[in-house]
Amino acid sequence: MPLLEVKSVTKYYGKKKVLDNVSFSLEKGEILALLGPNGAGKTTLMRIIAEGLTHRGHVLFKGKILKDRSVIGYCPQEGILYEDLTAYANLKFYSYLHKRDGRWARKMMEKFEIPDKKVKELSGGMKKRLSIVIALVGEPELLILDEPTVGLDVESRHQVWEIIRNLREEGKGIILSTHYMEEAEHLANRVAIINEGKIISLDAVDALKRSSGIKSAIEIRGLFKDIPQGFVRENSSLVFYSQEPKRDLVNAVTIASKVGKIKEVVVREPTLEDVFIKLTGRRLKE
Amino acid sequence: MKGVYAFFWKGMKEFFASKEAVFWTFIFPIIFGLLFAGVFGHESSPSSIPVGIVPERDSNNTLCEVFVNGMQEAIVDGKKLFELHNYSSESSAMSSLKNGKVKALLIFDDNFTENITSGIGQEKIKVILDKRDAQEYQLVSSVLASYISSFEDRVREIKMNITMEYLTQNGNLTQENITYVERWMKSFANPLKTQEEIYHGKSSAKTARMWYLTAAIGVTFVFSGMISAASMISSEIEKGTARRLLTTKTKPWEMLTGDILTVLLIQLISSLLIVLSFIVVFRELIIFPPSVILMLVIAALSTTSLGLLFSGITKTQRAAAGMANAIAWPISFITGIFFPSFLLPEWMRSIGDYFPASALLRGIRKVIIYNQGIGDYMPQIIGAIALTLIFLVIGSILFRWRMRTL
Ligand SMILES: Nc1ncnc2c1ncn2[C@@H]1O[C@H](COP(=O)(O)OP(=O)(O)OP(=O)(O)O)[C@@H](O)[C@H]1O
Ligand SMILES: [Mg+2]
Repeated sequence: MPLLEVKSVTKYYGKKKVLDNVSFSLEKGEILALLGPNGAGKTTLMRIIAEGLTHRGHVLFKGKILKDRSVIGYCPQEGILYEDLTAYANLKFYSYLHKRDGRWARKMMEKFEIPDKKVKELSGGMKKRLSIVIALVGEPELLILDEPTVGLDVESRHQVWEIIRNLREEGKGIILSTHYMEEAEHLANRVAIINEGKIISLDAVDALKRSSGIKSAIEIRGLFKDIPQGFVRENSSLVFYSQEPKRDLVNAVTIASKVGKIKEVVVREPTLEDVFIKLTGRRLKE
Repeated sequence: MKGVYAFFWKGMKEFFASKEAVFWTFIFPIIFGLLFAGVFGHESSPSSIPVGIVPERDSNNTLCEVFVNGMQEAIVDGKKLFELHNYSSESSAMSSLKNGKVKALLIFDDNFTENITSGIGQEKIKVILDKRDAQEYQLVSSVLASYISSFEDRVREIKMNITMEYLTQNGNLTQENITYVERWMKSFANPLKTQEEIYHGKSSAKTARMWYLTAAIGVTFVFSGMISAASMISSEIEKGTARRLLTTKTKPWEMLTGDILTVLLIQLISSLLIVLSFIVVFRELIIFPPSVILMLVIAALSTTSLGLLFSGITKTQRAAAGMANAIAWPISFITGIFFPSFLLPEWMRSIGDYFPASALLRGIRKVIIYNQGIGDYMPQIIGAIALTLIFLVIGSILFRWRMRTL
């Protein structure tokens, strides 16, 4: 039996449909990444699961309708830390909310190497780490982490990834949202690509790439006035998705040279971003 | 219950985390109270009234001189009653009155002495008063009137003595009859003899100090209590902690109770500090009986629950705090919290009867300033408690509703 089942969940804010018939399931020891641009509905979906936001459809935990939400460890997108309090005081406060005492908090501070300073004096990475530890207070089997690495530098991000991987090793089921494709690629067992409230594709990273029909991406860097038919723009590059790069390379370069100046041409493996663009015609981060 | 404790513990820690914020929260009402108590709470000594005199042209050895000298010598509580300024003409005296140098003018008729002894005419002294300040006018005119009337007594006595002298020398009255006539005339001259006695109760200075002590406490309740209660709940909701609760074992009511207790305790600590500051500065022991402490706690709860109500009807923390702030000012003025309510128009005074914090404050003042019991004030106290509970219930309902629609 899956740890969590989300069945046909639809959510309206006023007249606006924010989630459209979303369904998926999550196993123990699995990380599911929700990958999607701003406003896709990732947070809304997580809040429906974690906070019981009103919705249509069902959320089942171990086969039963989820009622007691203290079984979930939730790390919301916005800061839930009290900036004027120390890290320890924050953790202790949340421990009390879970009817635990301060000893547990002390232990976790040591385990996750969180310095006991006022939160406002902590680095962004430490704050995130503390927020994730707070989500662990109730020793939940299911963790919901909303953009756990947003705004972090590369090193802190990798440290957070390490923590998340370890939690998976402990057998927890984890749903995390992100707009970083590398994050989804490196962490997730499966990725749900979500756009405008719909899950448009859900699979393991490799399978997603395979099923997208992209074998390689011909990336032409330079300055271009226009986006020719069949190309997409990524930053300042033009990208052409190809099944047979050997065949398409010359052709693509010739077309690109007509709309601008080429500096460099790279043929590379497709990324999740490429898959996303192929599927939606949009970029993950505008 | 652990949840209540969690929020209470967190709230107190958060409050005391910023030393600066703590300092200013506590210092504001203390400064307020001490300032007003310092200004109004000292023994008031009588001050001299500046009066302009335009004397009779040739005023040596005249009744006018007697009149003016009498004014010069009039002393109340060791201080001269009048401060006299002489002018030669009415017009120069008038300009002094206009620029406020003197509060009244006494202009003597050139035939003053003659007139008053011969008794031919009337209106022998022209009195000009400055009525720009109604209170001052009232004071100056009544002091002058009483001086003039006592001078009249003296004039009558002089006239009587002259008459008596004449009667004893020229009349053919027996000694017995003279005594009768003298008594009879005396009762004409001075029909009433008043005797002044002074009541030495609690000094007016102490009353004023205690009044502003309670005012400072009231100000704490209305400002820091109401405003922090209004923003506290909203900030939990805005911050997301309220939502975060949904994935814990803690119930929303525990958060509400914990936050209310925090605000309540901070107000009571603040009140205690105000009392201590008064004890230190004015060196007098202030002890509150249990009834007063109870009323203080309920008053603090009343502003807290009103703040809660505000946070229930506004969408953001800023709006809630803004609303509480906007209401705090007029409330403190018109409900007699830091403005004696007898100075207010009738309709405003009645608002103070219904605003629980000020109704309770009035009860507190009855006990600690006027040494009265609160027995006959019980209906108002019960009313204040009832209203506090109503605020609390409505506030909690709004809070629950907000938690549902997070
Ligand atoms: N409380 C709300 N009331 C009305 N609309 C809302 C509310 N919360 C979110 N929305 C709307 O719902 C849509 C989805 O928002 P959501 O926060 O779930 O997106 P997201 O995928 O988490 O985006 P991001 O990557 O920026 O966090 C957006 O269009 C947003 O404007
Ligand atoms: Mg989001």
